[in-house]
Amino acid sequence: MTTSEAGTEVQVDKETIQRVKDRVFDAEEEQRHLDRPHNILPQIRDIIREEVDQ
Amino acid sequence: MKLETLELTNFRQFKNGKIDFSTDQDRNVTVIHGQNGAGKTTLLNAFTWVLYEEANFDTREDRLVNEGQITKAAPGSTLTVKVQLTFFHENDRYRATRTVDYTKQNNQDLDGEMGNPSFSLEQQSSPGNWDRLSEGQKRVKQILPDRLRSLFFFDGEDIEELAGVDNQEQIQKAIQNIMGLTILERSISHLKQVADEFEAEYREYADDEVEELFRNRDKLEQRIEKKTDQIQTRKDKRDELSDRIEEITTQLENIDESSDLEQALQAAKEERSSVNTELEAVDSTLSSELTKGGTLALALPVIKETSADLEELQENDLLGSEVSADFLDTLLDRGKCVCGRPLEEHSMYYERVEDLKSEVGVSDIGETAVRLIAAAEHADEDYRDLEKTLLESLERRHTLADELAETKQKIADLEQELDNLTLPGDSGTKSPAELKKEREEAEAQRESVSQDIGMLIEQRKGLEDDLDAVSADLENAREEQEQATLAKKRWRAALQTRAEIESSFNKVQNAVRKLADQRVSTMFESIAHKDLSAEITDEFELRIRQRVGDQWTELSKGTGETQIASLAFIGSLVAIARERYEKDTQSSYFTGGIYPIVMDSPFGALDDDHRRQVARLIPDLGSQIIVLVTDAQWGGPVESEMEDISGAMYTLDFDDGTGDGNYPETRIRTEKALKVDY
Repeated sequence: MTTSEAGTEVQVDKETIQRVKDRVFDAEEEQRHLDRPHNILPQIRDIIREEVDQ
Repeated sequence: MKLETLELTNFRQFKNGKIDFSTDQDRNVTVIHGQNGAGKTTLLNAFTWVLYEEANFDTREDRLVNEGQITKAAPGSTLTVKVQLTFFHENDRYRATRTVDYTKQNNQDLDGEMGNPSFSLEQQSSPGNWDRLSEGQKRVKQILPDRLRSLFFFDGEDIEELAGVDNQEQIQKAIQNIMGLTILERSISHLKQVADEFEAEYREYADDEVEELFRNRDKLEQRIEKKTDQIQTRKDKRDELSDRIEEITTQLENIDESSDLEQALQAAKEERSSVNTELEAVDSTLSSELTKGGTLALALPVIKETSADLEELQENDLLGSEVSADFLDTLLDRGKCVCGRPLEEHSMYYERVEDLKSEVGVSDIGETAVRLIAAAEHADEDYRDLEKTLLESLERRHTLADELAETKQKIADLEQELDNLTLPGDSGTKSPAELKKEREEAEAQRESVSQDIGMLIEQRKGLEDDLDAVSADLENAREEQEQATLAKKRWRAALQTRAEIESSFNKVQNAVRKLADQRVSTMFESIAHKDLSAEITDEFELRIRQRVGDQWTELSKGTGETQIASLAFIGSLVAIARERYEKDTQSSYFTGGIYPIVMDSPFGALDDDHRRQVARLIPDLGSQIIVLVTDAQWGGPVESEMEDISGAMYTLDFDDGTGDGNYPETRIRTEKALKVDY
């Protein structure tokens, strides 16, 4: 799957992507020691919903 | 991490025993040697058991308890198996202890019932005082991640597989592991899942046309996945056949009747491969020289004639400044050159005069003629050079073709001789002729499987192209609804973030590959024969090449060099991790570390020369090396090379228990210990 699949007519700016990336890393870092991180998928989903809200 | 001591109690054949590892910087090697079955593999397993509760024994994997002790124990009594490892990590001293109880049920119970293992990790707070850590197992995995285990605790006889066929995945995985890119790896995987969720949301709002595109894409993805599975199945089959071929070759080399013939056959096949490689190189030279200068050979007569004509014109003073393009036009119009040659339209001579006219300025014809005459002379020299190169190459090709024919005949003769060895072995095993036939069938099958792989890869490529086209259509699909757009935007954000992380991951991975390549190459070349080189290719393959003439040809698997290259690769990863750790860089996703290496039987079935080379390499592989070695491998060049550089040395005294009715037991005897105060 590539990024292009999601279309060109909807643009997400670089700053937003950077914020998503930093927040995802932080969320993952908090659970680095766990073999299976808890609830990480809902956390990442919420991060993206918050950062891309319109 | 630096290992300090290992203590065993009732662990397999060790009733009790202790090893103090050398922690000295200059004498960084600890050697433990003993006869086969004395317990080297048990010691390797003791490390993995105490740290990760993992052990891999050939026999009775479930029975860790000492056989003699459980037999002697009274019914109902309990025996504790214990392994304790002390080590240093970042200026702290740790003690890892794992125990498990075995309860003897009755007199006939010679195995004991195993209880639940327990683990503790303690950290030394002051001399003699230890504090138990609450999440010990987690801490151990942080210090020496589980995924690095196979890199640093390994059976040397398996390690040469790194330089075997289709090893890219192992090499790539090892590089990924040493980088410790857990966060990146997890983010990539999790973002993929979240992107799929947003995609599903978007699809709920999408129209029929877009839905159809999604369906097509899903189908294509499934077909690609299926092809990938098919490719993997065939690759496994190919590996299986390669192993069988290798096995038969070894068998044929070990049967008295066929040993000499088989060795001669393998040598002849290598020679054929080497001659073929050189032949291809010569053909390539011929082809490129002909492409580069072939037209010269055809054009030379015309060039010479033109040059002669120009000289004649010059001598007759017809190329002075008064000669103009008009003059040349007149020649062309009347269809005859000054030398009397007809100038028919579209003929070579007509066009030559035409070119001359267009190339020069009206007043520069004389000067250009001089230049052209000089160029013509130069063309003559070029032609002579070309002729020389071609003749030499053809001569070499002829010699090689003769050699190839000779080698092929030799192979055919040897194969015929093997075919004649139809008597079965002593124990009714297959005859050399039968083995050879089986090998030929396996080789043919492998060839066919390889072709299948090629075909499937092509088919997958076609599907991937189709997938790209459908993806591009999806890219252009328009959605008016606001919710769909938002879902699409989120989907895109997830994918884009994932792609960026993946790109960073690949960059770091590639940077580490390059570093490993440089180190492997340097380490390997410092020790191996000068005509050999090792590299990690862009495709993450560890390859060893041999120079034959001016060409490099790939060295076959299973040589001493593959062992050396594989060890050099492990050494390169240890060095990279250490460097990264000591540099204390800003990167929070690849912090490196200092790791010991524990290797069982690194000398395998190598000859003395290669054992010596491996022995010389070992101290450079890491900051602390523990070598477990059989007595047979230890003697001779290994001992003479390693005795001085080892800081501690132990012998495993093994009593198989058969003599006096007792049970097998190994005692650890200290030969040399280097005392270091902490």
